[in-house]
Amino acid sequence: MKHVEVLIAGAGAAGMAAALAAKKKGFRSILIADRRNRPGGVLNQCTHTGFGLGYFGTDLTGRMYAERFVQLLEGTGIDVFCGTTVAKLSRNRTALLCGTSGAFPVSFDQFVLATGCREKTLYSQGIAGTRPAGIFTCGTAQKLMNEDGLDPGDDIVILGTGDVGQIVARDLIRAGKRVIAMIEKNPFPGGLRRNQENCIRAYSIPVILETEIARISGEGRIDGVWLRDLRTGGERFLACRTLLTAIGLIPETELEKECFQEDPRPDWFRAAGNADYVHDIVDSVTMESLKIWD
Amino acid sequence: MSQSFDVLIIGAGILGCFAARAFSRYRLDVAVLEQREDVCTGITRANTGIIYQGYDQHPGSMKARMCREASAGFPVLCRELDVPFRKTGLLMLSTGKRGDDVLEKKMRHSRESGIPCVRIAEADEVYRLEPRLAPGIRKALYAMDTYVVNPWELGIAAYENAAANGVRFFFREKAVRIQKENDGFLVTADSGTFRAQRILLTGGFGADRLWNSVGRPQIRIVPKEADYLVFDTACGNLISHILSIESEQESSRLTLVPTVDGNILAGPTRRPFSGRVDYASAEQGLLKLAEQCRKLLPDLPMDRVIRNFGSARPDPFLIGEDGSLAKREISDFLILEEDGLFGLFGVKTPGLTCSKQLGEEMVRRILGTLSKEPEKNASFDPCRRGILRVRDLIGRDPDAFFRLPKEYHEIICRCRKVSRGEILDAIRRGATTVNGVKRRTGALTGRCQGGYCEEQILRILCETLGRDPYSITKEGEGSPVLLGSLPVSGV
Repeated sequence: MKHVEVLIAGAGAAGMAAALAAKKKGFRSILIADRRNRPGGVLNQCTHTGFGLGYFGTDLTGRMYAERFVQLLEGTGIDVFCGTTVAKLSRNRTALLCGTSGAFPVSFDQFVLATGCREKTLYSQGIAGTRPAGIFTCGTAQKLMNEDGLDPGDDIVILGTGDVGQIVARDLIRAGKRVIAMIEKNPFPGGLRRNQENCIRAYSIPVILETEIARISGEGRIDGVWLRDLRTGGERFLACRTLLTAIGLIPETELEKECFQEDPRPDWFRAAGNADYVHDIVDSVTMESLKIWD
Repeated sequence: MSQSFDVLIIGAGILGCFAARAFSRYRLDVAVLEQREDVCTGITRANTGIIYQGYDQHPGSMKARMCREASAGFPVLCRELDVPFRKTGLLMLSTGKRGDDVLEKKMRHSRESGIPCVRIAEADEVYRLEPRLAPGIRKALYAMDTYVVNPWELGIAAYENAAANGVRFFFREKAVRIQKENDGFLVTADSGTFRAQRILLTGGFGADRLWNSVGRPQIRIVPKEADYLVFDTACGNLISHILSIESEQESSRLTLVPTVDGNILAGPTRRPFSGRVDYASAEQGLLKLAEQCRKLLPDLPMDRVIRNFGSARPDPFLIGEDGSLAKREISDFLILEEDGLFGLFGVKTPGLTCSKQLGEEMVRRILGTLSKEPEKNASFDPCRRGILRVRDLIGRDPDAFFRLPKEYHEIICRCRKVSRGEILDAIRRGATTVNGVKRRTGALTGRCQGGYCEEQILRILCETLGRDPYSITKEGEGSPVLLGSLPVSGV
């Protein structure tokens, strides 16, 4: 069985920083596995700027930020296996790696969970109605557009006004799409102040506050949503052809839960970045992950 | 030019598929017309997936007999068709006098219908079997031979087996008109006409219109709608039996099902018809379901619901001479026959349970009207192999997993651990839509609901079928996944 001193699941900002820190700490064999076909994780679909101000002192796109770390990894001897999923983690310090190049077990001394986070789905929100095509999370829409060059659809309503939602709304408008409205249950929009300035205000995106989606309408493709005003309870129909959701992120901790259930983490297990808790900006993911062995 | 068959089945839901499989035991030319792009896209897809034993049914009814046979033969059927199932047993719970009376009635039915392995369990046993139940349960009917299956998996398996044994399936062929001819029927469908000696209409909405154009008595199928909640696999071990409870105050029943995939399914609610068959869930129903769940199983966390959906059941009514619906509901399966045209209508619960038996019953009746019994199909093989499941192998037999071809090592759906190999096999077996892949592999049914893998499945569908990404649909015509104007660039 292949053995490494450090196995890291995820080659995003957290995984790459944790690997560099492991090297510095003196670990000799370090392997990062990532299910996507290149390192960088979600940074690869972020074509907007706002990355690196804290860590590099310069304003970069997500891709450029990832690229800098890919370069830092070069020549370090750290192995990066792309297209490789850590399918299973076991208490006896082995993991099952599966991917385009086959499946094989790996044993390790230390493990870092750097699998990032995933998006809450519309379907977890108890929203009634039909289940038509044309409903995506903002992250999926962003990946389709910015990485795959595919068009999720036009005439868009976005549920939620967090950072991801605002940035994707701006990406869509720049690509010539019509964002009909963003829907927010609170009396104020979410997200960082700078995103509110640069997205909602700069692009005059309509935000409907104190409102929720009561029902989804449409049989084949979505044809609209029924909105409910949370102050009055009144409902109205808003036609759309695409619905995106930006309703929150959850640390992706499946590997940990499958392995330990509710038991405490052993000393060989660490979680880094968004797999630990959801961060507002990538620079803090990097800086924390660099200290993961301290 | 029209194609001619001995028997034409209209509708490829689970009933059409099992009727087709039953016909394939004979040397007959049989075809199935399906209006959608795939099998089991309608009523079949939204169901609790319970294989009942028949104590709910009136002794002597077709339903009671078929349930008893279905339950007895279910493990064999699943082995033949390589369909995963669970023998969970079912506890029908009582919290008061009304519930006790219901249990008593079901016990009487069981005895009269000769149903084995059904008995009363007292409270202490019930709580031993299901320690998470809320207090207040007095006793339960314990139906030990009750099974759980994924309805669409069973239907797809019957379809594949029928096709392998010679039945021809035509998709995107909506039957719009049936005309009686000298010796048989002429069916007009989307792309042309089909001739057949005998026609079998199976179940779904719209079958009443086709029947009424030729047959008597006139009927109307009215949809009955209901809602369901699906809970995350993280809660799956809170129960190990199907739990059903009849409310003491009102006529509502809650059923919790531990599914084959390890989720908990709650439902169905009962609610009045909204006016269209669109499989929508209703907020009122969902809220009521959540409240009922909390009452019965307080540990079930409402924030672990991963999906809700609506279902529609066909409820058949006879139309009187004056055009009004007959008041009395039809309690047994409605099988109509007129001069070579056969119809199987209003097959709601326990329709899934009896799907194989109903198929065989229709074949028996139809063969009985032929001038001579057809020869047996000597090469009929009742067995079908399912799609290999990486998620089962990883834990159980890692060495076998390592020996698989490489495409089975690439995990596409992280939540359910579905590999590229499984998705490719699903496409080889006829999946052309995202939901077609979903129903055949279980991909997209986990907690991320496709957030990660839908885009990759779309890509695999494009590559394998040689199609443009913008032509791929979720569930056939009118449901494009992408609506695009941006140029397509490869990655």
